[in-house]
Amino acid sequence: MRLLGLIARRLVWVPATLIGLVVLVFVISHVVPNDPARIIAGENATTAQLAALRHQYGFDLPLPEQLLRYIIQVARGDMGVSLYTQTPVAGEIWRRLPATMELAVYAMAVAVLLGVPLGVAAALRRNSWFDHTLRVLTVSGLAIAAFWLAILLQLLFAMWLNLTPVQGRVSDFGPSGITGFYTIDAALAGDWSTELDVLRHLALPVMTLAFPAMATIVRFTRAGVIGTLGSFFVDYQRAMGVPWRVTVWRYVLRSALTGTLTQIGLVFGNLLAGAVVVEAVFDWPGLGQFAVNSILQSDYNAILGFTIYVGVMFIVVNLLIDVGQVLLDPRGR
Amino acid sequence: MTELVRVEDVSVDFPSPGGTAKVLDRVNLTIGDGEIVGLVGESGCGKTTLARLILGVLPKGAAVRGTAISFSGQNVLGDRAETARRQLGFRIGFVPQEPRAALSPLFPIGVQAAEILRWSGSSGDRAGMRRRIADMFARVQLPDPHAIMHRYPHEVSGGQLQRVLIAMALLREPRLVVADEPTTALDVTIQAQILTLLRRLALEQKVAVLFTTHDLGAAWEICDRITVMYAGQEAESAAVGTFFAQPRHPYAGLLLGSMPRPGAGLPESITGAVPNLVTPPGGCRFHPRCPRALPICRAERPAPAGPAGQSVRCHNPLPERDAA
Amino acid sequence: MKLLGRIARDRVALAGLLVLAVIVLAAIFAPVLATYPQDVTTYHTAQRLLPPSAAHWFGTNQMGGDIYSRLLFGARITLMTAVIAVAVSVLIGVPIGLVGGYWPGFVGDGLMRVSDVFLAVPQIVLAMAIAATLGPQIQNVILALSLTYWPFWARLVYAETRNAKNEIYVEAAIALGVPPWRVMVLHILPAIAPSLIIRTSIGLGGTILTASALGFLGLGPPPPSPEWGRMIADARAFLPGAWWNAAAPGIAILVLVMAFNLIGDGLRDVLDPKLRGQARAVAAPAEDEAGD
Repeated sequence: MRLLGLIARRLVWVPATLIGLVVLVFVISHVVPNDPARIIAGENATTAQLAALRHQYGFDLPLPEQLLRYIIQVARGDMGVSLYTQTPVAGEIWRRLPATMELAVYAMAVAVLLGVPLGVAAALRRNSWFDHTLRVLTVSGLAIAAFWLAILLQLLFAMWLNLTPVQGRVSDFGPSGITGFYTIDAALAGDWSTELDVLRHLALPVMTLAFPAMATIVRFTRAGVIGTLGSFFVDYQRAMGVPWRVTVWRYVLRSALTGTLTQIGLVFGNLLAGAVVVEAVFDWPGLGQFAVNSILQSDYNAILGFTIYVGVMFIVVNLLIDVGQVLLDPRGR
Repeated sequence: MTELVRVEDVSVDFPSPGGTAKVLDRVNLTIGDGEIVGLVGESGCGKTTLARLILGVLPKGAAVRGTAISFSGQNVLGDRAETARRQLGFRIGFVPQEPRAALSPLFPIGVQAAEILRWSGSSGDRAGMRRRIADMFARVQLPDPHAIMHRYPHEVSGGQLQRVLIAMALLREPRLVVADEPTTALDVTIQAQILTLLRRLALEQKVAVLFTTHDLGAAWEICDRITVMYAGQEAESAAVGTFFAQPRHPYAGLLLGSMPRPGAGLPESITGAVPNLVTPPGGCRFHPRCPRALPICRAERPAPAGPAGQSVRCHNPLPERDAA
Repeated sequence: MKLLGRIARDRVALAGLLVLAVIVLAAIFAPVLATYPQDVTTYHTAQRLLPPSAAHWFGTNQMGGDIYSRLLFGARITLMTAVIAVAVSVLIGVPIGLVGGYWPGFVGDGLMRVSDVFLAVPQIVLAMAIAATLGPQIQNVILALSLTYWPFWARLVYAETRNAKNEIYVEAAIALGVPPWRVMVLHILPAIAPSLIIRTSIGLGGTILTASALGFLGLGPPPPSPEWGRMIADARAFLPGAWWNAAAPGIAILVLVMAFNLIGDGLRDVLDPKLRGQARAVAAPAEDEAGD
């Protein structure tokens, strides 16, 4: 019941936040007078053509009215068409979403599956050479520029060692399937050569995104475990004959992870931010690349559509984290 | 009475910011089979350290030296006490001061009790374990034992939680229960109930108890024997009747004198303060505050002496009163 | 100064402090230290893409510019961008957080909802949009970073202020009739200063990363500016041959950000009393795994 209340309280604010976001991006993209009609029509358009286009798209209306129209349009589920490609923005985003999600999910999985055990191990062997080595790694993970790491990995694994492709998501054509996750679609189709090809393409961008994410998770897990190891219940269980590994991996880890979980939202945000740049380097046909292209081309509708999508994604992830938090810690129930 | 636990001439040092703290100084303690021993002293006198030494959970960095820490006659000093004790099959139940801190807030009580049971040499299926836990919860007079197993620690009152911990200690079928100030965190009205329960169950299960407290009254209620500690040294150990009738160590005498008694006016207080343990006084650590101190007290720690069943470490003990 | 002394005792933080000092000095004295100071803007097509050598320590780029010299001048751009952007966002965000946290009802809720809007998408997306609209110039990068970074500070200060307001000495000051602005400046601000200082150091590192990403995407100062992000972007066309071209500025970013992060970590150890108490831990038993 408390859980439903929490979700309801959070959802109440979602529309307001999204409208605020639309207004914000709208204002940002209109502070400098640009002529979107010229983008659509191209360099050689006549004045009459431009005027007709302005009227057709409503660019001749006052800004507040344009904004209001846009919000109503979005509320009806229509994000308009890209000024460049003339294709519906919503469709373009849906088409690209799986590519980014596949990247983010694998990066997150690698970060969590490596980061949590490493963080626990570092906490248990505090100030050992292992802990120090890991500290150097995590500190660099948080200090390295994602685009530079991406280039470094391309240089090493693709150009020098020839182990992976330099960029792209697949060599020929992606497997057809419903999920849009190439790894899953290829596996479902039993197409193992494509599967291998897809995995080789995934390796470098996933490593690039996972490295800083892992660093964050290692740090918070380590701090959480060290904090919890000071709890009295650890001494108590030891005195009462519970083996050390059970206390650590069951009781201490659970406490430490409730703290780490709150950081997953932050990590996810960083993953998305990283994806924007990393997709540009790896020519990855996802949302990040879409965002960069739209912004560089002043494609307003595309920018607005992308922003709304990311905003919704953020809100959902943060809500899931709050719910997970409550489920993990009975005191909040 | 056979000897169950013996601590002989054991010292414990802790590193501290100001230097090495000599927390225990050549301490002796014995606990007989089935005996309830009260370990009494002011805060910081080392009674919790002694309890933790026996439990095998001293904080990191503690240095232990001495002649013996033996369980059922087997000396484990110098080994990892806990491992060695485990190999002996000598189980200890622990009832800590803060019941709430001893449990993880994230797991139901029943799960944590089952964890203790599982690693205490018990075999059996889940249903059997659940039944044993519920039986034990009933024996410590918890209302609705099955419901409590499904609750989380924060959903249960402090007094009930302490009953849970007593039950968990006894679930191990231990030879010894170490109860470290088990009632300090509880309401006064609950304290007596818990103490009575502890004593009754210990007698029923024939289990020895080491009960640390700063409350002489509580020790009087439930103990067979009392050991008084001062600043990391044990001062006197005697059967409870002898001790209250005729303390021999000056500190024990002053401690008794400081107990409030109905109709006796304000209790006396002991002048001075507990010394710091980084640079403790030499010899008997009580000598700077002792009204009966002799020059030798400064130099030399007195050896244990006294009639059978009573051990006093004092160069100038209180005179024996005539048995009236 | 006492603080500086305490940080200096933490070896890792001291290393960060020293590295930062070296980079700051290198930026200040770039015209003196640079071996080819004019190479920031001039071209020498005869010396294109030379590998590292005694004459060109870190090699040359596609224009024949000396990379070492360009790095020194690039440090000026990077440090200036980060310091101004963080300072501006702190100056906007901290008062908003203080006011919001002091009056957490209607005012605080409103202010936090506004900052929620900014925080609903990754900072770099908004910064990219602003920088792209305003055009690729260093002032616009700074503006874009400041406008998108203040909500972070507002959120942080809001939460800390709400906690600090429950402290007894703050409650006492309010009860005694001390005016709100005095309570905020004299009582609450000093209480939350430690965590602000820690976050500032780490925030400078993060801002350098975001700024260089903008530069990398072509939204930073235009060529031939020796901005580190753009240097890396320009180097991509000449991989894998002229790898030094991409390596040097990336290492520069890594080292500088790492310095700020290490200083932040050191400050945390020194300043955060919550973490200080956690040093105690029980000795881990080695191999007694079995139950008895």
